[in-house]
Amino acid sequence: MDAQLKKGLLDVCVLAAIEQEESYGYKIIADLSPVIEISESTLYPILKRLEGAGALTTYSRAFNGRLRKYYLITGEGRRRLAEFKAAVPQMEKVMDFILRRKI
Amino acid sequence: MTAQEWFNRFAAALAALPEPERERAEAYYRELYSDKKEMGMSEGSILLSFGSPENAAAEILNNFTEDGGDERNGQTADSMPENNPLCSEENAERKDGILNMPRGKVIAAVCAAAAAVLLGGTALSVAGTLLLSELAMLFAAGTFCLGGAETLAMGVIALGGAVFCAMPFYYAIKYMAKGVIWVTKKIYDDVAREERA
Repeated sequence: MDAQLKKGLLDVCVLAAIEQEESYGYKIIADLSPVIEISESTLYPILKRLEGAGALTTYSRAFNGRLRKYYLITGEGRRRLAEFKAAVPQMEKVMDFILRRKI
Repeated sequence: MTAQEWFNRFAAALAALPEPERERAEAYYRELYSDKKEMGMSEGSILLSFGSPENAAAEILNNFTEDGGDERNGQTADSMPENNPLCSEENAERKDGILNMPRGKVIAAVCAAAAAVLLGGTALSVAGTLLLSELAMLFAAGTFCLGGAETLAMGVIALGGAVFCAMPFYYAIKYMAKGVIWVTKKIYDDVAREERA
């Protein structure tokens, strides 16, 4: 997949992965892997960027005698996700055009 | 490679990052490691999934700066030879400051100053040596013509002074030669590195 397109999609995928409930690194990768190619090193900058943009927040919680970092979606994250979802019909039209299907 | 080795190499490759950033990246990978281990994965297959520590670190270094670095997010570490922290954008920016001139030039400037001081000292040393040698010869001639323990003693003192003055000259020449060799090597290294970059 095109790098820029994938980058944009991965941001939304990560937000979608924590939309219902908070999640952690391993689980986010496990949830997204069947849908889109994502590695540990790819996820790290995405989480950092989304946190920097205020789209998610983090906190650490004890788990099995160690700390695990959890990622929570914020209002800004939900707004971004809603924005993407609202643009889907438009994107479908574009896809139809690209794939030369009949509209 | 053991997990410990992987994390050691990872930390070493992230040395250019500020401490909190490095700790954060390490904690991220340690957590993934523990989670995978608890899911039953073997150490070997976990490290295989992480890839090489240098590549993982390069990806993080690449994305360290919010602007610029982030733009290349989608590319893999392998496809980017400029991942080397020595020629990343942060380093390019750092070169702007006066304190961050290319290292070779700074070293050359400092050494030129040191060489000037040394040359001045050498000149003084040579002048002193010549003057006192001349005095020693005068006193020697005096002793020969006129005799007298005092004149002889003065001659010996002057000779001693001449030798004393000659010593800095000797060391100055010695260290200047060493310095010139060192600076030449540094500048050569810098030029070689810039060419590689």
